[in-house]
Amino acid sequence: MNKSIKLTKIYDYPVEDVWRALTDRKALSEWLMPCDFEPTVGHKFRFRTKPYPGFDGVVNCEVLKISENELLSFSWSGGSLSNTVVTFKLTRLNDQTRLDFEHSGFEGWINSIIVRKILSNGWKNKILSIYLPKYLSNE
Amino acid sequence: MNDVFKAIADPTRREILLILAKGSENVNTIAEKFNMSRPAVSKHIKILAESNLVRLEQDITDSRQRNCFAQLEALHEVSAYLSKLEAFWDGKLGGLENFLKKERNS
Repeated sequence: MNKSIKLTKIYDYPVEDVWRALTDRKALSEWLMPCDFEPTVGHKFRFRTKPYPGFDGVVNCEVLKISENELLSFSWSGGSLSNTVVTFKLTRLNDQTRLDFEHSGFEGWINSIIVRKILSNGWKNKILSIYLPKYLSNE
Repeated sequence: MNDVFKAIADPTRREILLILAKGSENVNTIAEKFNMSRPAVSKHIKILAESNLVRLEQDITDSRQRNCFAQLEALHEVSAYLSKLEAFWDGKLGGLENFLKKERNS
């Protein structure tokens, strides 16, 4: 039921290379955002990026799971998001690597509950009929 | 428009939204449905109003009463936010490819 962002990428590099890019502080700081990551469960770290209105540019994270060359997940709290979860799952494909990325925990189910309730009450509103089905289809 | 997430994260506020989804109500009627003080309920309504999930209007027949309406268009903001975040990640994961290429060649 949770709404989440899911992306899949295939990289033309072996799983070890991708794993290093995900778990090396310098690497992560370069391709993602400057951070003080350490590959240890429970390690709290921060990404820092340019602030903009409504976002101070800091993302607070904690390493949740780490399994070499397979899986990395950490919490993600920043801006209006709190305790969402980012997960990188790697699969070896010969010399390539498949990355299944997920960012979850958006309380989307709450929306869905509200939405379904509203729809079931016969709410007639153009905006709702356009936007809300989008929600439901993205569960 | 800020913190729709925060606004809908609270169970009382979700309940208020569900009540309002069925039709507009005045603040007192909503407060009566909850086992908490009227000011406490008003505060929740205020948070919902600040995040544009609820609109408050003075009652035409009784100016002491304020009516609440749900404005679920605000949920569109949630959807827009997630789209932006998805674009952010898609861009970063694309950048990871470039990073890997650069590392390999260095």
